[in-house]
Amino acid sequence: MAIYINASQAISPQLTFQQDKFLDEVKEYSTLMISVQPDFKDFFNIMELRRMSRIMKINNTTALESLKEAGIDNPGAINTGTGNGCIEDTEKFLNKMLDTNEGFLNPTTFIQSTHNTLGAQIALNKKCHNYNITYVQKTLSFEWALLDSIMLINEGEADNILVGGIDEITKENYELKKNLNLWKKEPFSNLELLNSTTNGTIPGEGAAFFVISSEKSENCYAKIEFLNFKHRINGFDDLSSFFNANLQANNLTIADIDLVLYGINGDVTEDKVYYELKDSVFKDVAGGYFKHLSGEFDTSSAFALWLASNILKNNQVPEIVKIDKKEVQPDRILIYNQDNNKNHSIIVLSKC
Amino acid sequence: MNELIKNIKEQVIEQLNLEDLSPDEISETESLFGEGLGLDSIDALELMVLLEREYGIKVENPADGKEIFSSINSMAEFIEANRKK
Repeated sequence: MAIYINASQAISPQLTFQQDKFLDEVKEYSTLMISVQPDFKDFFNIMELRRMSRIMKINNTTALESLKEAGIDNPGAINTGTGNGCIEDTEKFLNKMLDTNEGFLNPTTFIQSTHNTLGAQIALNKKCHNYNITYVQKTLSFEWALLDSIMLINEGEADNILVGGIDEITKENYELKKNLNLWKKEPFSNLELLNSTTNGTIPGEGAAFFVISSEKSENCYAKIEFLNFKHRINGFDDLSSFFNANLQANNLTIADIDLVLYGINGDVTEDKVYYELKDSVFKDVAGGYFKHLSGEFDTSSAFALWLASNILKNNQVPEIVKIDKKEVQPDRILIYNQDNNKNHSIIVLSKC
Repeated sequence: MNELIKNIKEQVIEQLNLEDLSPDEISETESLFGEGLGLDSIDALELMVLLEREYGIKVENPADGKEIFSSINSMAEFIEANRKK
């Protein structure tokens, strides 16, 4: 069954939320890539906002505006994916536990430190009692949420589904992961990721939500052709086979792909596989990338889906997205992401 | 008592994230829950945490919270009578 994206909203480190222009202006960062936030008072009253942490505001605003865009009030399911969940509230709660020797613990931060608060808050706001799952599968969290949504539609369990990927970065989380050498040691411009010669990347965050449906609306952004992912790949030949087998299973060939969006993040070791693919399997296909716009985070593939769906709807590949500056007006886009040679995912979408 | 009321108002604003309210905008006699400030059951738990942390008072019976937290004045009276710090 065809799956259509009928609404697509993102709050990210770029000007992506409710903008007239499509990535016309690009923001430069050198360490943390923090989301550009709208005035949340335009979306919620003060009493609602006071209990929302930053990620909750980003999550709820993006999700509810997606439903509004699709003209759907009560989706058949709400599926969210997040790697870290409400990490800021988790940190507050755990730090308070230490500071007070396990006394005086605040209930609000405890309630909101759970990952499924994200999906639950949307459901509470819409009084939606339907299927509601939050997937926490590190860099495949969004892919699992999307897969579940596609299966629900294919099995006739729901007609319209709200699906999104959300993660936030905090200073504490940034410092912890810095010790694991995940980030660049020195400030590094997000606009220079393609020229990186060192390991580590730049952390980001954001929320991207979609309303997907078996019915194409007038507002349709794109059609999802297929999604697949694999935890481990044994070498480059195995990766090539993974691509070829998936394309073949969906009656497609490499020649049917007009643009590949790679998850290049500026870590020379991690990016090797993207360049190998680009120079072999996809050597004749235009290439683009997205993590210089979003930063690296567990659900960055949701941002990539927002980007790809907007490219197809707007008939335009922003210059900042192109790797090789090839002129292309794609009808079909393949998104490929991986995490340090694990969690390889492919999403293919086309014009609707 | 006036100093205590002022402190309670500031602590309530901080604890419940009512950053858009100033202490002067919170009435001493108005109900904190329902039609007054519009607080709810989670706020009641937050206020219990506040009492314990700031004044060393442990509310043993949660049902007492309804009376204690009915207004800023009732909170102040309860604190004045039971405070350990």
